[in-house]
Amino acid sequence: MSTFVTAYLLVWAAIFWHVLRLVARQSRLEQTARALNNQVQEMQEREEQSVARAA
Amino acid sequence: MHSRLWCIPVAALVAAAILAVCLVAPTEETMGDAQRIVYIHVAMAWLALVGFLIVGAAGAMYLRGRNLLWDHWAQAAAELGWLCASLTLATGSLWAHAAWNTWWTWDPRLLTSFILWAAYSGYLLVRGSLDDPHRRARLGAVLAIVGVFDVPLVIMATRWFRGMHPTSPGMDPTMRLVLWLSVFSFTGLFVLLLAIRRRQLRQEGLLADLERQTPLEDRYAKERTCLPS
Repeated sequence: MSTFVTAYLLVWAAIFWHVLRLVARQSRLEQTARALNNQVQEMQEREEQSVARAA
Repeated sequence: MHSRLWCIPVAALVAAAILAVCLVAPTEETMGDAQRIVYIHVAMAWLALVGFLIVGAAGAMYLRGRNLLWDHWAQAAAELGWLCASLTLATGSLWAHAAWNTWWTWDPRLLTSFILWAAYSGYLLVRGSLDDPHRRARLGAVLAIVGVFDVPLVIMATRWFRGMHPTSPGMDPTMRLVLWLSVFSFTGLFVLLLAIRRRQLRQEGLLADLERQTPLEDRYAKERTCLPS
């Protein structure tokens, strides 16, 4: 029984590790997307302000 | 979104397979419970082979049209395939110790499986060392197409060469059914993880493009504002 249990635990630990890496990557990706989105918003606001000042 | 919808049926399938392996499959007379490794070992080996075929096919499609979307499929399949190839060797080694009283032997099937694992590892290492996406995809595709030639060797190794690894031993009908269920459920999990990772790689690519398009002046201005005065 122990050989089978070892093999099964090994397989599920590896799959779990892979899924954890996927989740970590997704969270990093969302963080970068948010930062980029903020940057674009700031750019737009600055552009609007400069247009308003010029007017 | 679509991937999330598939999570529930795949999880149910996997749970059913685990229960079937532990409770439904009969215990083999000679090897006892150690024989139950077959249900995960065969599934992992099958997915390692399928994974490399996907890597090779996606590589060929990339070379045909130079579309990086194919490269995302190749990378996602390679990462999962490497995991399956590693688990094939690990579970096989555990089984070999129980059946042959040795962790490893240079049997033709074992040797060709090891070559497949090395091909996956080499492929991922080469990809990891290159920054340019197209160069990475091109070189990866060539390596994958060369590596694909090992897949038929793995499959036919037990028929073409004499070794210790069994070809396809006769099985009790319940055992065969549980084996099919296990292979099917792990394939479902593989496809789900592949789709999620592929989408993630596409998003990473889009973000990298967007970052490149952001005007440098603005980035420098932002960095200056972040610096302590």
